[in-house]
Amino acid sequence: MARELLVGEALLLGALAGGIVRTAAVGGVGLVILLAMSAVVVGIAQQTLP
Amino acid sequence: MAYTMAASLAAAGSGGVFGLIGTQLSLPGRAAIASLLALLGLAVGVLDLGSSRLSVLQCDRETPQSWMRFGALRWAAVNGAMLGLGFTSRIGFWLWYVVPAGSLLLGDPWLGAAIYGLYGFVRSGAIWLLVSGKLNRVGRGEPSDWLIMQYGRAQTVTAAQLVVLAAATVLIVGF
Repeated sequence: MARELLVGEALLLGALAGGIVRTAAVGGVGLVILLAMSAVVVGIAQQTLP
Repeated sequence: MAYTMAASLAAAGSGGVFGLIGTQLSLPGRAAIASLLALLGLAVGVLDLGSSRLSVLQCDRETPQSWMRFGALRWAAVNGAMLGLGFTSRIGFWLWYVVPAGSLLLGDPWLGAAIYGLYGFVRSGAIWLLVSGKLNRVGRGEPSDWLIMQYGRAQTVTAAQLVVLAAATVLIVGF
């Protein structure tokens, strides 16, 4: 699951780097999606804290 | 239920406040701060992925056991609210900082509430997996012990996520 998530994000990052979605609007939405994913990832990760 | 609701609501409230504060900052100001934080996040994430892990700035403690005296329902609500806020107890991962920072720098109270609230909901969500017994099949010992044993893996995943987010932020905001 974590691997698929990171592969998906790497593709998104590649798309951003390639200038495919480098308009302000799409880039902004991409950033919000990445932020939301980060919130989920850290929330899950914190379950491993003692 | 009280635990998850309190965590989600406290987190959403914090995100809303951060977002509201963010509206007071100009867009170029927010972009500049976001760029600087992204570069910092990139460096921390790369170090975290390697062998030189930096200690996370945090209150390294759990929520007080003495709150149990409030009774089950109040304890669940207060404990959930504190965990939803995140910063009053152990954070564990540098990636946590993107939740309040993102809520602030998006400069939108609703978006801030949604992102921070999502964090609070997920943070308090494992209790449902434990209660439902869905984690019983993943390991041989107690599910809670199995979760704690995954800390190293969680650290790698959060560091990688931080690198991806920081690099994307630099690409989008930094140009």
